[in-house]
Amino acid sequence: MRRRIVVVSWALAALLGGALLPASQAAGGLKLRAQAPLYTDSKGAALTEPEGVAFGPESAVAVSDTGAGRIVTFRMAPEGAQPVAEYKLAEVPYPTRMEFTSKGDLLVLDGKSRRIARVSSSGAFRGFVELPAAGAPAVRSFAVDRQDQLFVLDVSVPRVIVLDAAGKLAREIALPAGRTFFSDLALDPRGNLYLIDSLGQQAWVVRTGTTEAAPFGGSLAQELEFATSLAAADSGHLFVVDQYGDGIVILGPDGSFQGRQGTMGVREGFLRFPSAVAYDPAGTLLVADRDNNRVQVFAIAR
Amino acid sequence: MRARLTVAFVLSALLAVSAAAGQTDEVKYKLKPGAKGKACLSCHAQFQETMKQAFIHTPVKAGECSDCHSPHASSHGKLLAADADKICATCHADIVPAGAKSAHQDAVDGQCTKCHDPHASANKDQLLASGSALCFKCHADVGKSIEAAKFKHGPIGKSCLGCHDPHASKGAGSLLVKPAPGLCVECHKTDAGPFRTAHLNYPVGSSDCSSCHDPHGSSQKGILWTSVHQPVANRMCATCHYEAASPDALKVKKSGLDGCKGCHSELVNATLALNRVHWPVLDREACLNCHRPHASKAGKLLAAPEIDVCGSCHSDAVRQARESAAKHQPVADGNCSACHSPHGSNTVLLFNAADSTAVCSTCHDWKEHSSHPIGKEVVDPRNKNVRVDCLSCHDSHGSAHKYITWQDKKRDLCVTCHQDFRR
Repeated sequence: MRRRIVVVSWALAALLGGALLPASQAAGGLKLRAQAPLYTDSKGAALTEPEGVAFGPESAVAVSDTGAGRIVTFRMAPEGAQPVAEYKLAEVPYPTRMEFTSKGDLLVLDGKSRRIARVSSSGAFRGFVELPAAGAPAVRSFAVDRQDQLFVLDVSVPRVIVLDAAGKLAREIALPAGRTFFSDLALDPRGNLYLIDSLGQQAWVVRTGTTEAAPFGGSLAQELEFATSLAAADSGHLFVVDQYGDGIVILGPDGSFQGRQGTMGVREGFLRFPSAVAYDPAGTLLVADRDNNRVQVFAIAR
Repeated sequence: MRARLTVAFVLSALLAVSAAAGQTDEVKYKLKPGAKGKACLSCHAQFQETMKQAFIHTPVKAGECSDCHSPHASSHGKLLAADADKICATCHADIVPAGAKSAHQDAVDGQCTKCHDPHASANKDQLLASGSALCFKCHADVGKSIEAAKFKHGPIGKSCLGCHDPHASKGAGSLLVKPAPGLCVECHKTDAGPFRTAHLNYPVGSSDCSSCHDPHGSSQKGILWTSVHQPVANRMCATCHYEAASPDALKVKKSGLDGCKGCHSELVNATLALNRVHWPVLDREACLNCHRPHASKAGKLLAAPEIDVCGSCHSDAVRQARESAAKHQPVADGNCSACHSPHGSNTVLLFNAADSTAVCSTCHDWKEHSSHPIGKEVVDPRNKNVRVDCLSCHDSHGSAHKYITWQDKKRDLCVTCHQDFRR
């Protein structure tokens, strides 16, 4: 219902020439201004159902062009993102979530095998990450911190498996079980680990130096439908992607709901089943706008 | 002296209060001697017949009509002394105990007269009908399924109240007077030979009986639920569980997906080879997130009707579908799997065909008729990377508009793309 009401209101706003991402509620002090989206690779081929996006060193951007089974890289520039290269890897037929390491290499989750592949900055497959953990992990997502520690979200238990930069098991973080389904995790520069529970409609945090997940703010049941991705800003804000509700919910550093932006649509600025989000400290948010076959670029404005 | 006077004052005050509280109609309304119980009936003659009923509400019997009615004036219907949904609780306050684990909604809502006649009836507790017939007036589906069942659970023939408390249950769900299996073993002696034989000597005495049995009755032998897992039907518990003599007899040999893979390897392998696996398949519960391991009321051993199983996670989608004025028939029928493949798929949204158009084509032969151009060659004017397909105009789960279109077809739908024609 929320989707349809907002479609109408944003359609009116669009007619009046609005430049901001359609907002169903003011997002606190933060606003997302739609920029030119990423539509094609360097050869003009269209993106197809992208499900992953990442910012890297030196303005690098990588996109999991999932529907086409390839990785497409871009370089952010003042005049907009420029396509750089495309890689199709036999070992990664269905790339989804992705992250850069501090050295500029890529870690890419293959949705088909649910394994994390190491891919060099030149697009060469460097093997899969081995998970030295008990059971049969079902990797849903992962995050990398500035020391190249790898935080792997295993929904089979659920838990977060933490590997050090050398790939050795550093620790495991147990997550609340029961009526929960954790879809994504993100790290802020201080090392706080955030998670989003799609079923419980609740953000969680594992603060630096602690081992237990605690609710981050209140229930988001009234604010979103089914969240599947999140990104943490340097300021402590969280950007939570409501995939089924076609919007982005912004939480303050204290977990408070600060607003919701975006709604379902096809034109630029609208979203259709957004799948992933990446944050650039320079003030840009990238959203893998899956069913619109593009990556949307939003400038974060106060 | 002062102390004695104080005690006397307190005692007399208490007596006065208790006397006021216990005032009869005679005192309260200064009725003429002998008028009690007759004053009302002198006009309400039909109550002469009521008074002949076998079971009469105590205040009615005592002629204390004013326990429930204000004889002169009232702000409530039927001159009741309080709201109709609160009047009974003035005496029967504990009918739904605090902290009850389950409660009959009508009892909570004070809708006592749905089951009871407030004055009198031919049935105990002034019930409107006797035995299960009263319950089946509302719970008709249960009544029908029991009637159709080849094997009926014995107590059902007498009354639902053998197992259920009609008002509330402090310690059990489903208004059960006791939680299962405690309730069941009151009749079924688990150490007796026939019980042990029927359960292949597995120590199921403290298990949840309703994981296999329909407590009302069914057409399956042993009143098993309609949909029975093959190993249960074949009495081959050891397919999944350890042997009956084992100390871990009730534990499964393998848990999660591995447990089901032994028999369903083809399905499991095919699912795991897909681009996208429905995530619940991969967690610790795996198949049991949606299916029952022994028997189920729903088909395919689903834990509940399909739309309820899906809606337990995708509640917003199901709510939208249910609340939409224009409904898509498969959704209205609760048949999510008409379009989606619940285990996994090679497509986004777990479609059970190559893309959304192919899904729609399984029912709608749009190619046979003239239609708006759709397909891989037709670029959506709103987004150069999107092609026009069925979902460009239709909301497959339901919408407020005829033909489940996103917008009103007469005014807004077409000009969403064809903006030149917008007025």
